[in-house]
Amino acid sequence: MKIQKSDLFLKEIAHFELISFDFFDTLFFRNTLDPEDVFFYIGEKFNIRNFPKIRKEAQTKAFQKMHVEGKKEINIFGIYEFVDVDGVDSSVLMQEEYDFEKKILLPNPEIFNIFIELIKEGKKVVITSDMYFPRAFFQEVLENFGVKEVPIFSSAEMNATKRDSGEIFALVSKHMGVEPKKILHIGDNETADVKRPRQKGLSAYHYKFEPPVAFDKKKVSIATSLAAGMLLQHAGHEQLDVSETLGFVYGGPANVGFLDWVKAQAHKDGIDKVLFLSRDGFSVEQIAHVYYQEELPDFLYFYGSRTAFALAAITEENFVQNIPFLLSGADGLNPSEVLERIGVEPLSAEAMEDIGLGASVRVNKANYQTMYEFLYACRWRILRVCQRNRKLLFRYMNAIGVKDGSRIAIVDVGWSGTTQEALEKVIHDWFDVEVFGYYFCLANTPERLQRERKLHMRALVNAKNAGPEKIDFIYENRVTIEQFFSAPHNTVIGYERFDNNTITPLLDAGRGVHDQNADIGRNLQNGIKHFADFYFEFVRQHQVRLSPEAMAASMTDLISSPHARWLDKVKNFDAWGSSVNHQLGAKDY
Amino acid sequence: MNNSKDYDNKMNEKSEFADFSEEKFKLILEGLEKRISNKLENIEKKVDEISDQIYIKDFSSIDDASEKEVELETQLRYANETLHQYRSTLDQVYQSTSWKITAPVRLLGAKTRKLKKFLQLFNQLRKKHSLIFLLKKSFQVLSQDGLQGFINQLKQQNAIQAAQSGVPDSSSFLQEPAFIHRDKQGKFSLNSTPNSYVYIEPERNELIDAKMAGLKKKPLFSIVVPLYNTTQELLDGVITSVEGQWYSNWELVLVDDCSPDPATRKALEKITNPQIKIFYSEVNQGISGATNIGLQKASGDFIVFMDHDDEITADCLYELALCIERDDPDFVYSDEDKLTEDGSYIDPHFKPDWSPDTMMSTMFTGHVSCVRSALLEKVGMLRPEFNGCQDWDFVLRVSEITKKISHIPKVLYHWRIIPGSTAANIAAKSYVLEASQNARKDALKRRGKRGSVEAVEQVPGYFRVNYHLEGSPKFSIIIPSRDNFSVLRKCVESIFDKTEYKDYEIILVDNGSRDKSTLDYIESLKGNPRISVVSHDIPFNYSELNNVGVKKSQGDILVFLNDDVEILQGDWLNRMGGYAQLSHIGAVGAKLLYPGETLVQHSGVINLENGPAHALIRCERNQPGYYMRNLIEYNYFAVTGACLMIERDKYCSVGGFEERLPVAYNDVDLCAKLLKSGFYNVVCQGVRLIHHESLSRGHDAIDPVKQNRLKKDLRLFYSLNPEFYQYDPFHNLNFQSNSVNFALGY
Repeated sequence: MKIQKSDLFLKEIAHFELISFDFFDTLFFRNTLDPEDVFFYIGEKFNIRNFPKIRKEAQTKAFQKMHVEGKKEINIFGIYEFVDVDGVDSSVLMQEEYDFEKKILLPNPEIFNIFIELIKEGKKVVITSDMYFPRAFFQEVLENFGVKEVPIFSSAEMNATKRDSGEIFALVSKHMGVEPKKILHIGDNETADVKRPRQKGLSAYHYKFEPPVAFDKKKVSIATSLAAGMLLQHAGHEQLDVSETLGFVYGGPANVGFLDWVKAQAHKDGIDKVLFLSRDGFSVEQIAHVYYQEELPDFLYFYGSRTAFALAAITEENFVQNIPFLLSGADGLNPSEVLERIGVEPLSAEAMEDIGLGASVRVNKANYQTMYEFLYACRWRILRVCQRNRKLLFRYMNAIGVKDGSRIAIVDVGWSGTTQEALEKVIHDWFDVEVFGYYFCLANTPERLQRERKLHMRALVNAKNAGPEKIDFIYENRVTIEQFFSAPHNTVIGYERFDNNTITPLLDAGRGVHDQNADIGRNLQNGIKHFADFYFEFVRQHQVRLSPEAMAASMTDLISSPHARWLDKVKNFDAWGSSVNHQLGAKDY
Repeated sequence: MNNSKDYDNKMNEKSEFADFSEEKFKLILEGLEKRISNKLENIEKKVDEISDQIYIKDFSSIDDASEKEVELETQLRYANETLHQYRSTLDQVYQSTSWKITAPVRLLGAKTRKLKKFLQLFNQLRKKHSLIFLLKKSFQVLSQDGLQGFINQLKQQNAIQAAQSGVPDSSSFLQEPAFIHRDKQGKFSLNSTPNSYVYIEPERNELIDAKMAGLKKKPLFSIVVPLYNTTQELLDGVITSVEGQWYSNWELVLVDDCSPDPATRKALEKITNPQIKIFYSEVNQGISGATNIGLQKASGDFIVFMDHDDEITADCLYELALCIERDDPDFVYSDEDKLTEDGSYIDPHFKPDWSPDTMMSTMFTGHVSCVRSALLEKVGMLRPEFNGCQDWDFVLRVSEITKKISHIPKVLYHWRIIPGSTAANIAAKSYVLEASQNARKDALKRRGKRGSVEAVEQVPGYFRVNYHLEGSPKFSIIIPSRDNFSVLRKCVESIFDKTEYKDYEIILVDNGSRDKSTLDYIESLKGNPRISVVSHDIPFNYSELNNVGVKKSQGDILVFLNDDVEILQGDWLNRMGGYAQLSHIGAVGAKLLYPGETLVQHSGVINLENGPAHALIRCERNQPGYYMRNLIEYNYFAVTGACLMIERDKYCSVGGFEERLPVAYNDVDLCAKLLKSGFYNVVCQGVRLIHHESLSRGHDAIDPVKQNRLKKDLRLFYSLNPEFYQYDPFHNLNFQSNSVNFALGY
């Protein structure tokens, strides 16, 4: 039986006299995948680095004492007897845990609505939970959501559990005066909520929330755990699809963490304008737009790309030197695609055939000479596009208020600073400005190192804080990662027009691209946005936040997990190298 | 890690080698440059010879509209075109020098390419990954897939690297520059012979389809074609080009103007396409009458005018639809070229954006010509009394009704040249010449302007408008000067000697002269009631000197004049003033000649890629230039401040000269501000003056201090006028981006 519609379910359970509800992960969800993450947050708040360890050891000791004393359950007071931290009273920490746990719980609407409906109908309902918190904890949580006077059977209070022998179910039956067979228990744990009640003569319904993607709490970082927990809470409100879920759990923390880092860097560097570069600055800017309007220097989502900037720098004088750039990554493309990808209108198929560069030809080393000649022969057509890009980029820069003396940060996901270099090639012709590149990660490449000597480049994930191996691992998976930062619009390859103070970028859908690329992109973004909403509420409530580095770990979690394979569906993500002739997936880059 | 260091050392060695090579190359390059410049000199000589041959004739003595003149004009037109082609070719050769200079680099690269091959893949991968990563990955593949697997993996990586960033080794390619050619059979080829223009049909692709599908407005176009004795072949040409349109929402309205040749009716009767509407006129009404029938029968939102022997390009209506979507215009015109009898496309006309004064000089909008149907109610139909120039008359009237005129800088129309057609010869028929004058005379009348339509002496068949001065305005001629006695005297005396209009004053702004002869001369002028001397001893600031001059002046019309300009003709103030008084005109310039009076110093300022420049500089003064730009009045981006006339109110409304631009670009800035305020600037070719500027000038290019200052000023100019960075509405993006000769960028 799977609960699809609460009405149907209500009908089916009508013949039970009493309905018992499990509390955690059934009636309520925490916003952490791993309940023990709560210890981490308390440690952060009180600046006790090893608090999770202290707290876990205390719990073990409490269990040992329980066994010694012949009791059947521990409680929070028993645990905190063994918590001893210099400078902080253990009762203060206990209260914090109590309060924290209360705050991170949200009703799971799927079950909670049934629960409320039953109360309204006058049906007998109880809460049956194995937990070290006293009855008052459950009462307070329920009261926060408008539920009063529901009998609560907490293992800590009853000194009897669900998990061991199901003893607590007998107590429920006894205290409520209802025969076991007339009781239905609903819960998520197969042993404690299904096997044990049945052994005690109760009926049991195994409720299992099945998100589109399952996460293993043992294999994820604190940030991913937080996101996955929040996702459970979110799931009750709105069903997310796979892409949204991945966006939420992996993309959300990475983006928020990156933004936090950008904010700190911008203040440090005295930045007066932050340009979140298309496409990979998209989701970060979206979050900034909602949450950091006041806290960041003047910022905007800036349409641009290596292609757009590099083209803007090509002039009549340097055209020949730029032919290698125009031809870079062109192997396997149709000759016409080499023009299309920079926004130059292709020549007639007949003309291309006549000059030996027809539709059946693929660019390769053997025909580079003809391609060079062809591009040279098309130089005025190409230069017109370059000039248009230069013209509009200049106007765009002026319109957003770039001026001499500006300190500009460009925000991009990574990896070697090629886009920054291309931008700096043109911008210094126009303005005396300082440009800073802020990256999620900078690759461990000589190319990057060389650039770093001339340009201001900083990265959240860098060799110093992550080590070279991790950087390599991230870089190897860069196309997968980029999708978690990228805008759900096509690649910017230049500019089309500028009027009413608004730029219209020239976008390239790429060639051989499936429509689903855009759908996946949009849904990832949607998930990221939802995560941000939950996270900032979490921060507001608890006054605790994860460091940018901790948040960034969600990306390593992603690329280490099989979930990354989902993104293999996206083909020819990079418009520059895309072609009707091939399908490049994330792993091919 | 040691390996990594070794690699880095090797990289350093490599770059040292590169530096050493560069030194060596310098010598080779110098030699090459010499050879190239010798070659260029020869070509330039040839161009000069041709231009002398062409303009040796004096046409002024020939009677208007005579058959002889028509013949001569035809010859002239072709000769001029040939010259232009040569000039374009020369520009192409100049272009290819940058490319040739890199030849030795490419040659060396070819030799070392083989050596590099082995390291290439590794280096590419090394750029993207750390050494440790590469070694680990290699080991992993070797242990998992064995040696063969490793080799396969390498091959695959090679392919992927090439597909992503494998920048081909530029040094071994392009030994010769390349150009696309199209032969008489329409076959294309790539070869190294420079050419200036080749029309290549555009290719429809997904992006275009997407754009078309995304149009919010999908107007119906009525293509109206009057027919008269149209042959089956020509009609087929029209129909095929219309049926081949990418944009499908059109109707073709054919009006047979009572053709006596039964072949026309026969051809029309074969048409079955329901998008083609055919009408027969009972009587022969001439081109206007027949077109008017089409206009009345047309049901489209926009009318597209087309002649029965022409063709429109496949993207014509598509481009018009895009333009309508973007600009919501009432009238649209595009660039065009000519289709010869042997099927060649030649002589493209790349036009400026809407230019009201150019329109009074020449029918530049031509084809394709598209007007909003609803506008016809206000404008009226074509007028038969202007037959031959009925389209010109129509556009002049359209421009009086609407300002929403758009230009598509793209060839969308092929104008077929057949014997007797106006495309071959604008002056083929005398009634055309008469109509061309009458259309303008009528425009003057409608507009309430006094003026005369005068023949252009150098080229028969062309006329300019000489606007007469309204009222009796006072002119203030402002001349900043310092220690420049001899030229200043020449300037002032030429004004006194030549100027026929007498109500003017001269404001001489002395910028702290020290030279005795200058001071004496200034002293001597003080008694002259027409001259006021203002002393303003500041570090040179042209803008400030002029602005100070204006403050001391009293005239209605200001003339900013350099002290090295010499007046040649008596009516200069009248002619320029006539333009300056037009409400739509901002700055008026004159044609300035170098001493010797044969070469052009100023014929308008165009705003090129590298910055503002004098159009047609050093061109022979009587050469027509691209589409008569050197001889008839054209609107230009700017005019030189060496002689710039403007009404005082207009000058004040834009705040005068920008004093942050003390030396360069201040005149261009003033003109740019005028454009931004909605005015047009114009070069009055009817006025010629001498600018005593050295022909061999070019010190700014040599002096690094001056060069830096120029660069700084240019930057300031564009920061003040970002809308004009890389943009000149009166130029055309199809020209080479830095050509002052309107060389074609094809």
